[in-house]
Amino acid sequence: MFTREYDCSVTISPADDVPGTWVAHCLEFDVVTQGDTPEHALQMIYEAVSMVVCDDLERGADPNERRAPDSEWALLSRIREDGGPVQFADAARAALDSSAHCRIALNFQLAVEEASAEALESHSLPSYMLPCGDGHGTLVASV
Amino acid sequence: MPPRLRDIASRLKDVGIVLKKPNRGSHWKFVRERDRKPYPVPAHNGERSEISKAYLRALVRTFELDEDFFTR
Repeated sequence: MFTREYDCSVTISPADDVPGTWVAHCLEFDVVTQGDTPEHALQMIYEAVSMVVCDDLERGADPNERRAPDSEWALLSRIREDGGPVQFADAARAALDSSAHCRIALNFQLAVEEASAEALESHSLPSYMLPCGDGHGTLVASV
Repeated sequence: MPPRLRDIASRLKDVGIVLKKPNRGSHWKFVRERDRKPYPVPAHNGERSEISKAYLRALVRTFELDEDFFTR
């Protein structure tokens, strides 16, 4: 049995064109999904990434060949550099309460048992949050 | 008005990308028939799900379609 771990860098932000919808994007695999809240979007992206990685392994493809364009990585860098570290639950609550256009960045690791191409578990790491309404400032900054 | 999943699925079917319903979980998936390449679909409201432009941009990248595939 062989288990492989994949790092997943995710941004979560409100959809510009679908009110009440949050878009989650995993950059390593260029997988985008959406949910009704930031928490729902996180749940959805974990499920979507698990599906993509397992399906790619099962059909003999390398999931690492999927990768988001540089512009998306630049956005992730901006959130990490300008935003504040927070627990995801706090960031999600603040994002829903705020009238600003908030963006959240977070990482998790996906463990996949390659023999059965089945996702095993995820490990949440600290999140970063950047309100982008005016392009300045940090909304939440406590771990 | 954002497009709904059923409209996107209909357009993709013309180029050999079909919508598959899930065995488990919330995600359906689009599958390109010629190489079985999959891409997950956020379909928690079924075929009536409204789909964001951000999702569509990633979808056309994945399947190497033109950027204006859904608007022309």
